[in-house]
Amino acid sequence: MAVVDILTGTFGVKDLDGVLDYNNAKTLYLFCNGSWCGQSPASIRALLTMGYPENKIKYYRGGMNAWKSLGLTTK
Amino acid sequence: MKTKLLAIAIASVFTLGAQADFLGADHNWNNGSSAVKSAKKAGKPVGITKGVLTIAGISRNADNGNMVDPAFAKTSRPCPPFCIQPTAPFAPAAVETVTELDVINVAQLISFGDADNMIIDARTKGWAKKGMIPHAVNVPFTKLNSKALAKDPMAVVELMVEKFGVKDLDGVLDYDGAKTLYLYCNGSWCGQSPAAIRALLTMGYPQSKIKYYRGGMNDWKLLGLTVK
Repeated sequence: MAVVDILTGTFGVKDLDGVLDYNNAKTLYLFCNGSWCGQSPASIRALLTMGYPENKIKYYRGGMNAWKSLGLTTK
Repeated sequence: MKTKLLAIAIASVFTLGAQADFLGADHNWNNGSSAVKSAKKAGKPVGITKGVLTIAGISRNADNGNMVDPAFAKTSRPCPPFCIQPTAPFAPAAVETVTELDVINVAQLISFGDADNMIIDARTKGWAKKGMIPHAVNVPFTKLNSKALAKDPMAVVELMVEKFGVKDLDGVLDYDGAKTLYLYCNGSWCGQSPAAIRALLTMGYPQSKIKYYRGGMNDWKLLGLTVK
C-alpha cells in the first residue's frame, strides 16, 4: 500500500477502490548515478509490475555521471 | 574449469541472439567461475555485466579506485561547436542510438569473423591513434561528411564500396550486402560521427544499417573499458 500511496500522492495515479487508474498519470523520467547504476532500473521494474504505462516511463541511462560529465548544474 | 568452459559456451549461444540482451543485468549464470574468484583477490570484480569479465579482448579496469583518464575528464568544452547531441539526432530517420553493450556484442561478432557489422571510429587520425575501441576501424569523418560529398562524391562512393560492402551498379548504389555500421566519436558532445551518419543517409545508406554510439570514447573510458 505504501507504493500505491506514492503512485497516488506523487505521480497522479488514481486509486478507484483498488483499481489503479493511470489515465492522468505523469510521465516519469527516472535516473540514478549512471549507466552502471541499478537503482532507477529497479524502480522502473516495480512501476511496470504495478501496471504503470510503458509509454509514461523514461529511463535517463546516463544519470548523474553523464550529467556531471557535461558540467551541468546540480542542486 | 568445467564451469568456465560451460559459461563460455553459454556466452557464445547468447551472442548469436539479437543485440545485447544476453548481457542483461539479470543473468548470473557465470557467478561461480574461477575468473570471478581470481578477480576478487585484487578487489571486487569489475565485470562488463554480472560475471562477464572479458568479451573479445575487452574488459574493464580492475582497480575499484581507478579514476577516469584526465584527457576525458573535461566538462566544459565550448558549445558551439561541442553541443549536447540529442537522443535521436537523425529523426525522422530511424537510426538507433546504442550503448556500450551493443558495441561490445558486435566487437565479439567481429572477433568471430563476422563481416556483416563494422565499428567505425569517425574521429580524425590523431584522436584514433591515442586509442580506439577494440575491433573498430578508423574512418575519419572528414572523408565522410557533407563537405567530402560536395567536394568529391565519387571518393565517398569508393569508400563505401571498398569498406562497407556497398555495390556500385553502373551508378546505382546497391545496399543489399552493405554492413551494419556502428559509429562513434569522442562523446555525447561530439559532432563527428553524427556528421558522418548524415552523409551516409544523404547517400541512401539504409537507416536500419546505421547505429549511433552516442556515448563514444568518453563513456567508454568512463567505464574503464579497454582501448587499443
